[in-house]
Amino acid sequence: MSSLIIDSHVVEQEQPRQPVFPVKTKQLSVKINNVHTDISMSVFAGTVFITIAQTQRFSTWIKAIKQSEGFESDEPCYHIESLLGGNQDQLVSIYARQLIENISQRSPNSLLLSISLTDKSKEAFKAILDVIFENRIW
Amino acid sequence: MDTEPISILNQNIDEKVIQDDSENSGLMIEKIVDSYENVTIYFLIYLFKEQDSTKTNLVSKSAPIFIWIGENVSAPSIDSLLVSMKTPMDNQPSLSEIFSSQLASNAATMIKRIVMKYNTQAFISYNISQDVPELHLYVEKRLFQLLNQYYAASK
Repeated sequence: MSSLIIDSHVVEQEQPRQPVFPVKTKQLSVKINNVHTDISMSVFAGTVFITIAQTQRFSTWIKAIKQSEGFESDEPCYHIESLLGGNQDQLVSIYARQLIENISQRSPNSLLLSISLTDKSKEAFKAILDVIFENRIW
Repeated sequence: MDTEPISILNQNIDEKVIQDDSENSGLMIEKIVDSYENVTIYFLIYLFKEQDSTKTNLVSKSAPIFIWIGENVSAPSIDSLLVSMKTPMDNQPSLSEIFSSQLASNAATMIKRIVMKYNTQAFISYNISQDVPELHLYVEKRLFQLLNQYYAASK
């Protein structure tokens, strides 16, 4: 009958290890000038992917890199390229320029930005970048 | 410091430094880890939620989708990016390489199937470097299982 006695000894089970996801992400949700703005950041190897969405779309895609070779200058040089979507709107390039400048101060990563804006005001520009910089994960 | 007031209204937090706020976000980011034989596969999926229902996690069927697929044998890079969508001119979805690597060709048929099935614009970054047909088939099958879950909840 001994086999029926419940053994009170608790075998410590090894906790299953949570699989580590290699891409760090952060999501932000803010109302700026009463416009709901979804911001997400994902850090891939060599690239920071940022989404700024006010219209539930990815809309314009931009790649920005800091050019490190071929220039003998104290001033850093950035290359910003529209990959998809409208390239007439200079504002989105300025967003990319500000973001890559901040990223490259801390890491060698390039920037992949998807951005869809309804509020193109100066205040929204400042507020969105402030929120991203305060919450950066690179 | 510039003290010019700016109009930021966080929905639930007063400070500008925000913890990950996926609950209130209109964007749903899903991270899934899976394995096939000795390879660990990572899926990162961006889906937009139905407007005005951010807390219900219903996926918007008209909004685009972004998928990143990676593996543990290489760094989690984003070296290729394809976009596909339906156009009025053709029954088949059109496909474009936003930037590409040799791996992109494996994802070309996959992304077209996603567009056909879910009737949405799709972006995919496919970074499985091993040239094992069974692995690619497994990844595609698993991806469709995952997408079915998200879209089924929205019916």
